[in-house]
Amino acid sequence: MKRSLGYLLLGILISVLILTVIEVNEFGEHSIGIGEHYLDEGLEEAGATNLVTNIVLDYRGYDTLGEVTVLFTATTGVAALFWREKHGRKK
Amino acid sequence: MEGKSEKITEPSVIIKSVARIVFPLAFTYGVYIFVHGHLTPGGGFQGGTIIASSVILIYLGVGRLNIPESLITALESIAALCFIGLGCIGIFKGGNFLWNAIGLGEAGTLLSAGILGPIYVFIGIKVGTELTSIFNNMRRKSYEY
Repeated sequence: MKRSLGYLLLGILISVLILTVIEVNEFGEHSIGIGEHYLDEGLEEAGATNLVTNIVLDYRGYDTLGEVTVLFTATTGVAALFWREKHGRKK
Repeated sequence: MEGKSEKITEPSVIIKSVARIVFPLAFTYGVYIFVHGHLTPGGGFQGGTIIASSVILIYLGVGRLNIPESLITALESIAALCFIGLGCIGIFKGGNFLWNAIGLGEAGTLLSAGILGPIYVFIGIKVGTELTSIFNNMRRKSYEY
């Protein structure tokens, strides 16, 4: 009984997977149009000729703010680590 | 504070003279990379990394580095605050945070793209000073032993 239930579940999973793979676009075809939107209208909307800057600073400005914060946290961590060792050795 | 190891690690003449020639070029190149971040490939992170590596180069060449830590910390904090302040311009003009509120200007000129250019300048300063301070911390550990 348990075995047949397992086979049934496996069959459902495999059929779902096959149906999904059939639905996937052909190779080289975009399923989301956001990349072409960046390429076509990035210059008018954000104004920088460097498209990477348009994406990184304009469309994804929060991401860049977070990146800078991550770097700041890393610097703080390094400073804390070495500060402690430095003062520990003097005792 | 910086006495013992500097006499031990005296750099050779070749490294000294090359570092003195290359340091201003590398530093200027880093500044160029982040000032032109919205026009040419590159940007704040890349320019800041070049600046930090030029500082490491001058340390290798000259053998000492007398940048006060308060200056590094102050530059880093001011750059971060200016980044957030530039983002707040969008709020004051009635939009979202980090909205490009200033006029975009003519594409391809240095003063175009509204707040993107200044933001990259501040990111460059911030990344450069942060990586320099990481190097500073690690260096100070090395002559403790």
